[in-house]
Amino acid sequence: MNRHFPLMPGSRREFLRRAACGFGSVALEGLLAAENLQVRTPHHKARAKRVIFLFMQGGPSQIDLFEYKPELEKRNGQPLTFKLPKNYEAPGIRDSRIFGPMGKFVRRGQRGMLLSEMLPHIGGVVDDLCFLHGMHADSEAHAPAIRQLHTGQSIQVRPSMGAWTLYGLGTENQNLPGFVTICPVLGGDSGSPQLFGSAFLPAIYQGTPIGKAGEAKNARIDYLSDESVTTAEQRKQLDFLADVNRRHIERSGVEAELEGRAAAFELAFRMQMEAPKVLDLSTESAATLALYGIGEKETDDFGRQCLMARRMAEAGVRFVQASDTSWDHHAKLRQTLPVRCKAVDKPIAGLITDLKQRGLLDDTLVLWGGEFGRTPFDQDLTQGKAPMSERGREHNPRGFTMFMAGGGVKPGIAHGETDEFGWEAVQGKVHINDLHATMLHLLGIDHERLTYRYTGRDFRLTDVAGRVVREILA
Amino acid sequence: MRLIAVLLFVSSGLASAQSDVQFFEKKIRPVLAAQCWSCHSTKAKVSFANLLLDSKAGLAKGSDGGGVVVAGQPEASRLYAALLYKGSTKMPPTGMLSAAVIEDFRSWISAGAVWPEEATVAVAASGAKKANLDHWAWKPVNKPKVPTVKDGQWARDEIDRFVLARLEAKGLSPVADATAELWLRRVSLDLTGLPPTVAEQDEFLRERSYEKTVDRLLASPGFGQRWGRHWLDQTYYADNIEIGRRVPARHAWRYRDYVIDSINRDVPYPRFILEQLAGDQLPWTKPEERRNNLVATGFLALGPWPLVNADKVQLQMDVVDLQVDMVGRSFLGLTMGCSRCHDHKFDPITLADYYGMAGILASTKTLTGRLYLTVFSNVNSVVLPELPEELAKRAEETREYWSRLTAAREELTALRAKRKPLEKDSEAAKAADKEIAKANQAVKLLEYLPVLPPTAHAVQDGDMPADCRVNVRGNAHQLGTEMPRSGVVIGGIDGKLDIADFTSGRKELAEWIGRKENPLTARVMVNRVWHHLFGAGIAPSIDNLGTRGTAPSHPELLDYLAAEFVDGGWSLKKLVRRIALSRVYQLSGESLAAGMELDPENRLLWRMSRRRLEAETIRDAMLVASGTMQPGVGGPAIPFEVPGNVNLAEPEFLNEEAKLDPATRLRRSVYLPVLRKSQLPELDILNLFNFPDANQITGPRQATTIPTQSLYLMNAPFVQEQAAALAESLLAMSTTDEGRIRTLARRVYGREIRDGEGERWLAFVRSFSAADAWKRLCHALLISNEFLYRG
Repeated sequence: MNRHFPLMPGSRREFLRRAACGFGSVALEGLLAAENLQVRTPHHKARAKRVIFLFMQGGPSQIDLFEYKPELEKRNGQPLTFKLPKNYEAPGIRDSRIFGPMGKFVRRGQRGMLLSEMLPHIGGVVDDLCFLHGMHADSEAHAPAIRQLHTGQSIQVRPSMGAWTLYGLGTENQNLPGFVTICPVLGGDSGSPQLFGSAFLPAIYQGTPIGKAGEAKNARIDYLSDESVTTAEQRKQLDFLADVNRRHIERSGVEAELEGRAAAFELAFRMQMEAPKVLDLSTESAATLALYGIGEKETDDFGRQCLMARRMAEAGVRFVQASDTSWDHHAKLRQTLPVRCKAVDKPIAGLITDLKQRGLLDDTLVLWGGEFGRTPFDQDLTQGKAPMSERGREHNPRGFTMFMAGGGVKPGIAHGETDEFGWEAVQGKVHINDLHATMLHLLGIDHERLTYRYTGRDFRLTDVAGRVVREILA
Repeated sequence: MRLIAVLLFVSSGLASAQSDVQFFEKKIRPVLAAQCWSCHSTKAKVSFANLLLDSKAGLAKGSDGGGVVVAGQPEASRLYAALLYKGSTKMPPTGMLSAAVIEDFRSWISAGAVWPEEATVAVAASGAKKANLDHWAWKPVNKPKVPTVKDGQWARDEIDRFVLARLEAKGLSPVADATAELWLRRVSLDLTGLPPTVAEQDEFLRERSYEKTVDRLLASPGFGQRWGRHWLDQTYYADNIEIGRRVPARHAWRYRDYVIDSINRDVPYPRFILEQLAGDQLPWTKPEERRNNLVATGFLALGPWPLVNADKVQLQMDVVDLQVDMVGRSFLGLTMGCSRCHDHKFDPITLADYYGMAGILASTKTLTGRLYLTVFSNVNSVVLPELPEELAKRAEETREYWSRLTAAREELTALRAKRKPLEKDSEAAKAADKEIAKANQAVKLLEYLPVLPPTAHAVQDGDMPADCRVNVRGNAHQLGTEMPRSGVVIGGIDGKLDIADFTSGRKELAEWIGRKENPLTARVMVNRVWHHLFGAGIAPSIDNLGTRGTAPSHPELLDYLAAEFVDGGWSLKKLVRRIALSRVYQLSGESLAAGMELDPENRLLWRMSRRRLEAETIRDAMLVASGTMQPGVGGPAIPFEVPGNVNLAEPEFLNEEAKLDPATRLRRSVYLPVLRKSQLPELDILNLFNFPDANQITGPRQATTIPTQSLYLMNAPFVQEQAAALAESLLAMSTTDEGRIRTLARRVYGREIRDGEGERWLAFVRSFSAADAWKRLCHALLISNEFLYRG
């Protein structure tokens, strides 16, 4: 296994030979982190150049937001008419009844697509969206389901889809990380650094976290500055370090890796200069800030994330993830779901609108969704004590909704559907592996050919599965 | 079965109506192709139950269990029953076909199961060992003859002759030897993971005894600490159970200490294997021995088990899968995981091999009980035997514990009583509430941490040891053929095990692995040792010696060392000693044009390859250089006592931002908590410099160069703190600045200052007016290449 670089053995050999020609010939364009992140030619013509993934951790309810099921409304409160799987086990569902959708659905957009009135702003951009109502995944629990959504695999540790993307395509701005995740959840059931990790792929492909969940206002890259020195002093220290390293290389012989590490300090220094600028939203107009809901209490956090995502997309970052949490509505759905909707509705619509008006939506794939959806029956964790109005829904990976926008997908359509109760996907089924295959396809990558050999096996984001959902390609 | 086949042929032999063929081509064959062929065809990566549904002959032959179609009689056809999802076999496993399609099959079988004549497709026998049987790694180890070399002076050991012979054949010469200083830093880092102290440098430079130095390092606790960590890389060891939340694996540290101790005691390798796989089944006389043996099985007990899975049957097989993969890769250098679903495509590992080993592990209890209400399983634990004096000590501790707990409870009660009369929402009440919350936490933490008898996460035999059936596509509910428990049939030795009645067979498996006839065990180990000393194994893919691994550069040397390792009683220390004292290990890192041209990757070993220190070695080396490393070895890793670390919800879990205990936070890295997912914020250096993921078996560590590492080195508080401590200790010396600079070079680089270097360093210091000028210098050197690499 090649420990350092994902290059062909031939090119590594060639490089090492070139390195022998003398110091300096490779110093900056060399076989450093940068070279491996350089832009690569895709397998076929790409429709999307970059991805913005808006992750809704917890499992948003497709039943209350996206897929209107009259049957549920009709049978609200009645016993279940469909059978649960034999070994189905979940807390607080023993006496579950059909749980009708909350709130009203309204017709939006040119084709009059039905959408919950809890998402008024998204309703305004519905003609740009491509809904996937037939999503399904394999796991009932958060941690494995989230892992599957991010890496394709629910049990083992695998590279994140952002890492695969970077491995496949490189990145356009060498002064910024190529894969950024804004405000990720780092612990608990709902998050882990592995979700933006590179697993067995070289670590240069791993995501760089910016800030923590719920703290978009203070989002920054770790270790980006040393408060105890001025920039000039640090520059002087780095110049001294560069001199020490140069003398060491002269003495010990030229080696790409030594030069790479020396040069990485320069790269880090440039990142130290450039990253804060990208993250600084103060240069944006008041109108733009308002478009994203920045400055309004409910929408400020996710609005900032979305705007940072747009700024990074503009700056050439290949894969950006923004995250919203707490979509896990086991109880008090009627009280808590509107809060979440409010928090993301305007920012998401703002992002779509802003990308569009800047001409970025054409080659930016926006992907929205959680790790699974929710059940059409109620859940009561208080053992029958909660009134219907305070109940929630259990996780449901059998059928749920995600949506895409831009980047070569058909706008203004809905693909697939669940059964009449919203329990299980029946038409236009899209598994997480299919979603990944489609995403890679739009980026110009054949998911079966994007492989990495590890422990003697060629691994893929889609493992041995995955089908490009051609029906939604524009 | 034959009868059914005949029936089928008879029926199809009749001049079947054209419409029947059309029906087959239109309605049946496409369904077979789409739904069945991925598992039941000659082209399938997998062939389950030996059933092939892509030819007439295949259908006629049926499966391992006999015919699947009785022409004209759908109700008697197993294929039809499987489609109906009645009975134990349900096909296709991805979901029942639509009623219309099933009806088509009924009609087709009723009409005689017509299949048009076609060119015969050979029915391939599955389970046959066809893949690459003559691969080098499966062949028996025969000690090769030591080659003769032209240069009779250079070689010091037989090892050197093997290396030199290859170099001479290529027309290459080895570079000059490394300086004594460089060799000392190299061997100290490689054997103990710590750079030499100034005193150690003095001693070595005075006596120049290479042998004495190697013996000193081998005898030091540092040897087991470093090589124990190497071992832990190839296990799933961590101090927590990850169920989304970080639930402490309270006793995991015992396994870590066991590994370090065993390596320091130089336990012969087969015994080390035996204890880890089957320590619970070994005879013992003293309680310490029994304890050691039980703790050893933590090897199997600790892992990234998906405990939240409510499907216990599937969960068990998922755990077994991870264990099979670990046993395969750690001991045998085999990637067995593929064969959970199909025969290995490249190596002669079959479903039979996989399920042979899986049966042993499935007969073993790794999980038991419940961790929590909604976490339906927990890791198995056993109580360890105690010595009388330990019992007495524990009784004393228990008494203390109870008095502390009683005091804490009384305090809580008192605080609550004091709170009662206070006015609601008053300042006094708020302050009192805070105190109550704190006291309440203290009580809960004490309750969570009672004095327990010594306990280990360990495995035991299950209640019903038995062979295991193939899981179709890894699905534990779709069962195929039963496979007898066994080792792996590979190369010259067979995998047959004579398993004692009512036992899992772990002991027999361990003995099979440790047999000296097993061609893989010694090769894999020797290759790993070489990797740890030279930065790359003789065969670089150290956890995969299969055909998809990388071929060895010096196959004879590998076999020679493997044979010597076995003959020498499987002693790790002897092996390391010999290699460390070889001439080839002493080479400098000089780059010569001829070598760079012919062998730029240095696979022929014409020089010593440079290598970046591992994450924990960078940290430890900084602590040694700055003189801040805290003493102390072994014991629990999780900092329970630090306030705010443990969230006392149920199940209790470690907070993401948990802090290390100030009393131990600067200890050697190997004794700090290892967590699944990522390491604690204070140990971020591990996250950034490729510390292994405890959820995976790690072969060669990655050594990437990324800008975020540079950001860490430039700006992280930990590095700054070490630089400051180093500067402070230099400034405390009663000597001149030149004297300080000399000491600095020795502490950071392990060598004397060079001409001109001291002046440049001092000029840098003097160019800063700030009081921390020395810290700036120390900082720059601690993050320079010469420090971060071992030459």
